[in-house]
Amino acid sequence: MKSKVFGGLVLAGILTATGSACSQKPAALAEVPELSGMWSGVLNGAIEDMFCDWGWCTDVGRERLADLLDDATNDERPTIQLFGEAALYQIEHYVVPRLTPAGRATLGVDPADDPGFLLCEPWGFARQIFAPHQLQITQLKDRVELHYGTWDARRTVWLDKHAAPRSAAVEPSGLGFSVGHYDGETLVVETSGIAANFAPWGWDWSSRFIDGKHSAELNATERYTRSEDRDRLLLTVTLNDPWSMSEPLVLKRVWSAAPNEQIYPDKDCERPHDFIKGSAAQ
Amino acid sequence: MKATLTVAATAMLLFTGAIHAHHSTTPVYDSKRIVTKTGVVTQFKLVNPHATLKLDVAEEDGKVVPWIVEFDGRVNLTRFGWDDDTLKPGDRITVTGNPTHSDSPRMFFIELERSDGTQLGRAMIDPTVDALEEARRKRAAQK
Repeated sequence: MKSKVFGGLVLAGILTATGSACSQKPAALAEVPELSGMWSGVLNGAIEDMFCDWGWCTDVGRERLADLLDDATNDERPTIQLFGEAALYQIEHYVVPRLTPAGRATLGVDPADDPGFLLCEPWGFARQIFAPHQLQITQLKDRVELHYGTWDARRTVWLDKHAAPRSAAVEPSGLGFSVGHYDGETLVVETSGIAANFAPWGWDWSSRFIDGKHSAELNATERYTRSEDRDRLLLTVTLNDPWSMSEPLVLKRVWSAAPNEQIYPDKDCERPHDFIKGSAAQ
Repeated sequence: MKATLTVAATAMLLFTGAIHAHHSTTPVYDSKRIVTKTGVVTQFKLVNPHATLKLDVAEEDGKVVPWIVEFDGRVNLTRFGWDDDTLKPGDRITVTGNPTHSDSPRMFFIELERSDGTQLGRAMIDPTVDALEEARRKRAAQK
């Protein structure tokens, strides 16, 4: 069963201003899709969108969730429990079968080894692009700025890669080097130069921390577009890392328009001194 | 308060760590245990990645022990109406959370009750749970 949201991603016709609070597009960019504005978590609307807001989702996971919701024997179970079950299902039935032995061997990393926890080190690309909370998009003539509420992280997508600082294209970094272009109503972003880091497979779902790791060979294609009702920002990402994946993974994420939200500084991270290893296994 | 706590605790068991936190909290906090303390707020910092509260707790032997309560971040809490004045120095509160594995005077917030009886639940849990159930009802109605 194809999802309602992702089944209609391609918008027809020329976009016009809709009065949406996400209308921040400069007049000079009238020919490009209007993606600028503040986007954030989905707290209303289709339940499948809410599922894809918490971390990432797959078509496999959405279909599993639909089956669980349609099953009358689950009527008394909390929805949050069904989310957890569907999330675990997509990890076990979609992600894991597509990992190489090397990739599988990294599953179940100890959360105490997470540099984000131990060292207050911001996430790398593979986790940041699925980060919860806000994503602020600013479309400029030669680039697109992506600003995330989680970690107050910022990425630049170069529409004109010659405008990028030379070092940005050469030095591997946490968030990598991104170039982009518009394909109809979609912003397409190609990212490489991503330093080896944690992969977002588990993201605290389902009582287990199942994150793994990816190598510096990771590259990604992100496709951002708006839903037909203009109220959602839809992301489809193809991740490819020959070291950890036997075939590319296609993961999705949904945000909701959130013109009244803002992103706050993230500068008060406290390195923990009182913690244990192996907590996920307890 | 008990009903709210049950929902929050259930969600905690489901997710182990903070759902939308920037990392798992399980290395520090024991999600299988709960601790409740009453005391006076001495500081509340609504910051990212985690808000913190300092609480002077008078123990049974009369000794005042400074506790630290850790919350989800400002990015989470403000979405559900929290601001810098939600908790102020001098407020007397009873707070419930998950203790540390080492039982140091620190907890991860689940919920609290002010002296006037008003309650605050863990921001990322209750509104989200409610929204999910509402979305599920709408989905069922459309079928």
